[in-house]
Amino acid sequence: MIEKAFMTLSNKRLKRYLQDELGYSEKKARQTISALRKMEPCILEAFLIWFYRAKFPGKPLYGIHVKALCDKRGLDPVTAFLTADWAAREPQAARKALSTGHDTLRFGPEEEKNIQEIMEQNRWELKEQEITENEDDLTINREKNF
Amino acid sequence: MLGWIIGIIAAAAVITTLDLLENNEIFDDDHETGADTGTGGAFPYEGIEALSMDIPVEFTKEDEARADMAICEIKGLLGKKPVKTLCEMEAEDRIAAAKELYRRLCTIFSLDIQLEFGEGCNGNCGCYCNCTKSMWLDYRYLLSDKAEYIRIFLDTVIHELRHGMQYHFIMDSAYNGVEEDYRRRMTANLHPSVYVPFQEKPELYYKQLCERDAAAYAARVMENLTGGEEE
Repeated sequence: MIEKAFMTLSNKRLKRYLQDELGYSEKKARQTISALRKMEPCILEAFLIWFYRAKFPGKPLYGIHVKALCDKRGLDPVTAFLTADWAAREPQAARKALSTGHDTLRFGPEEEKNIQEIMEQNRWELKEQEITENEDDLTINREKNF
Repeated sequence: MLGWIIGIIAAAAVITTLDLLENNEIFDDDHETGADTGTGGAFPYEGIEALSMDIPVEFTKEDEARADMAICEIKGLLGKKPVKTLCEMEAEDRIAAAKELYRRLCTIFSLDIQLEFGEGCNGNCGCYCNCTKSMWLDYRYLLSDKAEYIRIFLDTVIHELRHGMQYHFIMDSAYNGVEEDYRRRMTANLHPSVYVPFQEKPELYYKQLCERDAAAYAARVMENLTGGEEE
């Protein structure tokens, strides 16, 4: 007997979570959901289990402890799962990058205006990039044999 | 303010054994990271053209000349094995050496940037702020008992100074003779609405042009400094 177990998360609910709980902008939420759709299925499944049960994977995903990424690198859980997906696609590059520390650029209030002036002086354009919105649910389709 | 920061460092100037990166908590040692073949999954992010992730890093002859001078200065100050030299120094001597090194590198790169020290978290080793023309470094990497962390400190110094150079060449086309298209792409990436911080998306952070450029520049200097150093 085959039983199909579906794990589904609506686009609307996920987007609301990203924006309301994690403070994502509209653009960042759409970009993130688009990326989640393309994750390795086993990572997407682990993500959905976390979303519904607040339970992080007990085992590493592609060599990465997802909860530790949150605790030791300050990532929110959604970003941590996407980072595990990076480790799945590019194991060595991801590991090297994540193991050596990082830096940051700090921007002042006038920074945007300054960069804009440089663009205008040189007649360069900064084009707004569109992200296609797919409003389908995120779904994992598992078949279980009993 | 600078005097106050120096005072704090002096009070905390001891060699530290801290595991700052805590990599053993994040990575599974039993997992074999063999060839970088991965799962073959598709790159998942959209709307990121302004990050210029597919553009190769470019160094001009002037960039390379300055990097070569930096290597000479570092070796002149710290010898042929600078990481080893720093490892063997007492804490206060390391801080003094780092400040002198910083002063010399600013001269070589024609940058006027203030240096600050502090303690970071979550693997953050350094920071560059163009609006205040300052850079911040986690001094605990310099004061570590681990050669690997001292290497990270030196790498971060060059990395942050390279961000300073990036801002310099996007504002001044005469600085280092950088090609216009590279300047344009760098400018776009440094726009606050475009730049991706590590905490937002680590993969995009590492692959965006300004970070790849800074990482490659620092790697170029470090390869010439630490190639052949015994650990």
